[in-house]
Order: sequence, then C-alpha cells, then structure tokens
Amino acid sequence: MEGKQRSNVKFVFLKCGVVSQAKGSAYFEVDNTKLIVSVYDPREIPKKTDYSSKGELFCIFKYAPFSCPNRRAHQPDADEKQHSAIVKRALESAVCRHEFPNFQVDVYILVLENDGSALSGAITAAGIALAQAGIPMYDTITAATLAIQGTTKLLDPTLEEETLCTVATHKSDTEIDYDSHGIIVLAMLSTHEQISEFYQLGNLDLETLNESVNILMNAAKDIVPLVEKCLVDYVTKTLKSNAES
Amino acid sequence: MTKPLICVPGQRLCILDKIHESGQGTYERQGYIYSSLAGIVDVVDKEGVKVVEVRSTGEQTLVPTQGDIVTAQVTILTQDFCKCVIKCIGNTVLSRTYRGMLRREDVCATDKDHVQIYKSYRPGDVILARVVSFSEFSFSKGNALTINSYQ
Repeated sequence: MEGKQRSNVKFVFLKCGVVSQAKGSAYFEVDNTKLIVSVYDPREIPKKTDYSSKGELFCIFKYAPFSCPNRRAHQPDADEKQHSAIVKRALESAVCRHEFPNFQVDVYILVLENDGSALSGAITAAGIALAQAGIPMYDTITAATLAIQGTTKLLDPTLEEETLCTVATHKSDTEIDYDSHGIIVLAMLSTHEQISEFYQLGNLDLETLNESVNILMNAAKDIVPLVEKCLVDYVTKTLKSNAES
Repeated sequence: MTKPLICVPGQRLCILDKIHESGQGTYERQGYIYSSLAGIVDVVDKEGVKVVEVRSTGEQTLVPTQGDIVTAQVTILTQDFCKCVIKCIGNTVLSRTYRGMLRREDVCATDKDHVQIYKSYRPGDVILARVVSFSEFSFSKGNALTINSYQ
C-alpha cells in the first residue's frame, strides 16, 4: 500500500428519522461501518443546583458488543469515554447552546458495526440528528477521517487500514527516525469554514499535517450536500404529512 | 400559496439591514442573517420591518424562557411555595414536562403578605403562569423555574 493515495469521499449512506422514540435520529453508513445517533428533547439536569447560561450536551459514544472484531463490554471503556468527549467538543461549537440555558440535550451514538472512521461518521450523523430534533445550530457539521502511513494517505480508512496506520515504522532500514503515521479526525462547520474539532493520533510532520488538513477540509465539504439533502427531504416529508393531516 | 422556502442550519438567508431583522430560528453574524433550524423560511412584516423567521416543520423544541406564559399543573403545596409541572408553553404542548416552582410572593400582585398557598391552590389545579426567572438559588431537589401566577 506504499504511496497509495485515496482522497475522494467514499459512498456514504445517510438517513434521518430512524428511531421513532427519539426527537431526532440519524443512520450513517460508510463501507461496513454502521451507526445510529439518537437525540432527545432538552431536559432538566438532575441534581444540578447552580445556574448555567449555556445548555449542556450529553454525549455517549458506544460500540455495540458485537460491533468490533473483539467483543466489547457493556461498560464504557476508556476508548469510548474519549470518543464521547471528542464528539461533545465537536458538537458544542455547532449548537446554539445559549438557546436552552440550564437544560441538557442527550446525544446517544451506537456503533452497530465498526469498520473504521466511526468517530467522524458519528459527528456527521449527530449533526443531522440534532438538526432534525429542532435543536438550534449555527451550522451543519461534517467530519472526515484520514489515515496516514509515510506517503500513504487514506481517506475514510477501514478498520484494517486504521490499525496499520497507527503502527510506527522506520523511514528505512538504516534510519532510526520514525515515518509520519497516524489518524486525524477533523470536524468542520461548512458555511463559516470553521474547524470545530481536530483530533490526531500518532506522529506527523508539519508538511504532512498541512496537506492532510486540506484533504480533510475538502472531504468534509464534500459530505455537506448529502447532509443538506437528507434534511431537506425530511422537511418536505413533514410538510406533506402536515398538509394532509 | 407559493412554494415554501426550505432551509437548513447555517444557510445564509439574507443581508441584515434596516428593513430586515432576524427573528426566531435565525441568528446574525457578520452582517447576514443565517438559519439555525431545518425548516421553512417565513417573512413577517412588522411595521415596515421584515422579520425573517425559520419554523421547524416537525415537533418544535421549546424550553421555557423568561416571560413565557405556561400552563402548569400543581403537584406539591407547602407554606411558602407550590411545585408544579409545566405542560404547555404558549400554544405548544410539550412532549417532555418541566418542573416549576411558584413562590408565595408571586401568587398575587397585590396584598402579597396575606397570600396563603393553601387557600389559593390545591394539588391537581391547572394554572396559567408566567415564567419570572430561572432561579439561581439552590433548591432541595435541584433547579426549578420560578413562575408567576397569571389571571
């Protein structure tokens, strides 16, 4: 796979309104990665005594027990906790949190099958679910993952590619230096061209990083029309059902 | 009827000037009005000023804010206050209720010292009230809204 470049977005499937109990929900699929995000109404924060002028986002990122090659436990492990924090951080800058002070919006992410790029998919899907739930947002949020190993850059990597890119390799047999390698997840607010979250794993040199950020920004922009179409479809559908009733 | 204008969050709607104002479901940034909801654009003419609003088509997400008229049901009475659950905000029925608290001082506008909660309300009463503030003081069961009864 040496020197391989893949910088076009893979086929992505998006659907909103999949969980009937939730206020807003979205289903996301890229390769074999499948995940569901559900968003619930703002609610009062239990056991909270002080006043906060900004609303809270409560994110839970969960791998289903059967989603990974190895069975996952029901309790959230360190990985899942970190992913939850990343999603929360990414979404916080997209949501108008001042519009629901002292309340909390719950975002539950369930990964049904993990074949890489689950985190970026979760952020994109959460953006759709939040918009469908009618939570005021500054912008549509999209995210993309890039895996890097030396000169190889792979957009939306599979689980295998992700694993290969997290391993450090020497530049050549004679050198001690490690090659650039790692995984970057980038979330972006498209209209305002703002990066809301940047998460990097591994060791990258500056040049690679610059290139990667450009690739990722373009990739994130490429998903925007899909997200918009998904939301427009939802609005037309509800408009129709409103007119009928 | 003209075809409704559909918009998504972050979509730039129009320029912000003297005759265009940002209303519900929108926000202002750098001289433009942007949408913050997925829904349909509605332009309301208000004394020569066009208020640009976005209304979501599905179930609305509402949280009580200061000044809102709410419909609530009384649950618990004490000497100093009564607790209630907020069921509607304005004309919208909530899918999830919120807790509220009505203090003795806020029951009546006049003769505040002689108000007796027991004589004013009974558990189960449905009342119309206005949200006075989000209380900043702590309360035995967490935070609650202070509401003002409204007749």
